[in-house]
Amino acid sequence: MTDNLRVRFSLSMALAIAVAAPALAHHGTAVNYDSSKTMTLEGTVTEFRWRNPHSTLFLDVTDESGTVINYAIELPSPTLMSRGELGWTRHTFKPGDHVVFQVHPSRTGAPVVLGGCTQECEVLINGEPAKKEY
Amino acid sequence: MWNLRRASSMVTVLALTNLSCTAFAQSDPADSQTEGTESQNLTGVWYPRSSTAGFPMSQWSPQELPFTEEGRAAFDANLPGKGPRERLPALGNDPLGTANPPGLFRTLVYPRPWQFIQAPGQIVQLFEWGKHWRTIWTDGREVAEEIVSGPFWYGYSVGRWEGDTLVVTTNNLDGRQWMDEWGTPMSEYDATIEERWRRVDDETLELTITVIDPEIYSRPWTSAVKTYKLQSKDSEYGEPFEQIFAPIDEAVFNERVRDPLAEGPIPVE
Repeated sequence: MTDNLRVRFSLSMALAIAVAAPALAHHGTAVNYDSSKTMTLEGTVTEFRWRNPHSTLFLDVTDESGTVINYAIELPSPTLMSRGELGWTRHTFKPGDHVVFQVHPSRTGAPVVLGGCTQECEVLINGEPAKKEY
Repeated sequence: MWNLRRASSMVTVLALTNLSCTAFAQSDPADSQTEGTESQNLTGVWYPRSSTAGFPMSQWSPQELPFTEEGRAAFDANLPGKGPRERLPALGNDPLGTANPPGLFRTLVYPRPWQFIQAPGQIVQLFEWGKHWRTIWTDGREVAEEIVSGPFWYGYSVGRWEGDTLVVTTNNLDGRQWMDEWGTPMSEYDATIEERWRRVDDETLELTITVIDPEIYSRPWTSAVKTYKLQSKDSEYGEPFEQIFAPIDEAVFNERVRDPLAEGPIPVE
């Protein structure tokens, strides 16, 4: 019973905290990315920079061959993110967190991606939807 | 909320007591060069709501700009990461990318809130973007000639009221700034830009600029109307915060995000 409740609560939280596209799409470096494509990045946080000009989440991602690549996920500035519906802070991601994040790839194939997607998408931290903290 | 009834009662109070206004009240009509009107109140936090859809060259104009030969060369030399001439920012030369100030006119077309505070003889404009500010002097002084300590990224501005329109002349501009995100140029020292601000209703401010810069433009040109909406205190953009591009942060961003984006295995022009 408890497990079922927990799963149902997680799903409803996921829907409630789904990342709205505009908050992550108002962006100064859109030309770098292919917004027509979406991929899911899964990895371990190495660093979270909550800084101007744009915040960045760094993940160690292990590819199919077992090679670890450090990806940078570009995000909006702290000011913009604080105004959206995300409710994230500089404490939202910590080194060692396991994260699942839907992103747009770079046009050059570089390991730098744009956080978010053109439809609502979900960010998981250690299996749970990223928490709305305010 | 600014409305006619409140404005009328405030004018009555000012007439009876001859008070000079505080920074958060209407401007004192006695400070303007024309008879005061109830609409000479630009106070508040404002957020831009204008479209540049279809603009061919500049975020300021739906028309092609009348460049001189030198102006065209300056335009071509500016390599933006946005607009009709966008390219990967790492392959461009946007001065913002190395933590230079955005400058006045680029800030006026950028989607960040700013605030007008009116006081006797001056109107101060505070910008969240870059945490910069400027003063529009409305104390009757003459338009500035060359100011020895300039030029300035935010220029030197002198304003006067023409009815309900605030006419501002800004010069002494540091022309290394871009006028917008798309790389619209100005001359290094000699641009004069006239701004016309008008509050068309409670919630709406309109701006047009006329650019007089013979080195870059063969004739003066006037912009499209830019619209700004009043932000209430509790709205999303109701409080300007701070967005500073510190060199320490720009350097890290460029090294770890901007530049690697141009170095992947797939060639992109």
